[in-house]
Amino acid sequence: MRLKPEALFSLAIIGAAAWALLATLDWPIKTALYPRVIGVPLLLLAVVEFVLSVKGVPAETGQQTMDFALSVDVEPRVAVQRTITIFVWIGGFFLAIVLLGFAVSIPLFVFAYLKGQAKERWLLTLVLVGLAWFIFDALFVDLLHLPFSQGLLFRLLR
Amino acid sequence: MLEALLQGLVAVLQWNALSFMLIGVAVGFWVGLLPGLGGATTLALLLPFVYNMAPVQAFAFLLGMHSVTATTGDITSILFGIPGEGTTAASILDGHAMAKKGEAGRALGASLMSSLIGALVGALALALAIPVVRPLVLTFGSPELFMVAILGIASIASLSGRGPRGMVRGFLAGCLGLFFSAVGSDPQAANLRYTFGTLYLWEGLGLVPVLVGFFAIPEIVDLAVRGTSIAGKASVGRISGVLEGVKDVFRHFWLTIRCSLVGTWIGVLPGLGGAVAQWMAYAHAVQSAKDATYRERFGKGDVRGVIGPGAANNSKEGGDLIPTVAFGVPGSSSMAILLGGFFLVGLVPGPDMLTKHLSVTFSMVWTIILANIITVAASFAFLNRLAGLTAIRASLLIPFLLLLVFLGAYTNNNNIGDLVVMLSFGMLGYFMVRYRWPRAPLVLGLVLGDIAERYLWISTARYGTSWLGRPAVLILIFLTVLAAASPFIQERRSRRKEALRAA
Repeated sequence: MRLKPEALFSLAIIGAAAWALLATLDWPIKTALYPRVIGVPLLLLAVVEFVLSVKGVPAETGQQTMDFALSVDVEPRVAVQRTITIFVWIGGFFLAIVLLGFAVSIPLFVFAYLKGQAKERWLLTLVLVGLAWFIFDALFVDLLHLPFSQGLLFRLLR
Repeated sequence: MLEALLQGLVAVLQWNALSFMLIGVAVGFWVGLLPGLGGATTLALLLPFVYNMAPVQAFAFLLGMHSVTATTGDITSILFGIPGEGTTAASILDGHAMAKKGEAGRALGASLMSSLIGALVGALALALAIPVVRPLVLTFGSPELFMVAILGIASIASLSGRGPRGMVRGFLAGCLGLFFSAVGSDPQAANLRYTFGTLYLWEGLGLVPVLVGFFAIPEIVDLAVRGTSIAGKASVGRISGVLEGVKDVFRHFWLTIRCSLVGTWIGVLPGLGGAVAQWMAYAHAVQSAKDATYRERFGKGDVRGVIGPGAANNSKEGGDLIPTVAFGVPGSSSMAILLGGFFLVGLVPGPDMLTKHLSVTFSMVWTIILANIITVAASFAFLNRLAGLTAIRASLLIPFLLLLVFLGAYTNNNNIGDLVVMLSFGMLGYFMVRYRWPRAPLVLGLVLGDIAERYLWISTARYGTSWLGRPAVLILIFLTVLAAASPFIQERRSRRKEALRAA
């Protein structure tokens, strides 16, 4: 039987809750009481949700949520492709920050996204890269004096 | 008392105090707009500047800044789906949904007007409550505060989804939030829990990276998938939309007042704060919907979901100040920092603030009122331009939104761990939205978890199980059961009405 992604998500919660409860076994009661009190209903509710996901429930009772819904007016294949692409960009930005630090990654990322992904014109790209740099440097570095560490590569090279 | 009230107003209107207030308001305006950079952090950064100021000037400066951050934080939440402040995340649910429908102007109009009314109610409460609030606050011990936390989670969890499965998901998300709050050293014995051997998690999960990732990442992904501007094909920036939003506040005037009072009361209670007030108010707004059909509109762009949190996160400022000024007991981290400001200018919070320095206390009331009027007026002046930002195409907006998300999250501890937490919660938020799990109960669980654990432990250690029999606790238990059962009661009632109509 192939599980629906929805059921897999609740299965992941079950796994996390079970692991978290098992971890409390070695702790003194003062430390373990709260995670156990919360962990047990969490595990039970996740099991209920998993069973309901596997069985499937009618949309009118199961799908109404007080939250925004992802857009459905884009072709599913394109939507999946765009979702993966944006997650790759987000991951890439994170990796760049870790390796090169904020100061280098910000102009690099904005430039790469605007030119590589959005295919914007050179002038607009350069103006927006300058704006991004200004926001970072003037606001967060000069005005707020936030400490931004150098990237891992620079630290290794020193 | 009236004389002190007028003296307070005159003192704030002196050119030097007014100038400091305007500087504070200008700083607060931008701090609110920028995601991640919180009012409390900025309050701490500004504290050294008040050394040589007179008390009225110092509070005009500090409170002028702090009392407007929630107002402008709502603007970022509505326009971009990124919480401008930790206290404005609830405005995203309906405010950003409205922006995506091309109703950014209306959402901003409603948010700003409700913020102003909320701030006025909070300031009025501060002025009126000081003599009477003492016995009320003292009746709320740790058992009652624990039950308030449980009531908050039960309210929002039961209301976030429709039907039994919706409730399962609501309570599951609430439990997940409570569980995430267990990360870090435990408040009783300081033993480490779920820290994976990292120093970063010793203090638990930072609320800012969690909120920024949890709300902003799914919105950015959706924006990239759509490939259009935030408002899509809908037209934006119509002035009529703004006026409509303002009118909405008066159409739902009693909701605005009730949510303001919720915010004020949460502000008065120690340890709860603005992050809780907005969700409590949101839950109240949902709860006061006539029936399930009306309730379903929440999260999809219902203006009442903007009005409630908008009013509450501003009114809590006045409420927050009550225990700080009257008893020297700060109700939140911001107030703890402000308490430092009292000592820096040579004042001691407590009875003296209600007698000898009453005019200074009233100058705080006037500062909150004036700062919010100025901010709302300035925001209205730029509203069309701000609403126009939702018409910028996604390809230009996304790198800047990601820039703000990463920088905003990083400001929490200035640690790469902040980014890891932000991305992890971004992924979790995305999957929750994808599979229609409500996110609000998780956030409230996370915010209230630490408080709930602390008060549960104190209550049990001090009273054993007898605290469960305290009258205020019994009332709160009854309200919790009522909150959990209310969707079923309302559904049954509307079904009975429909049956009667059909007959």
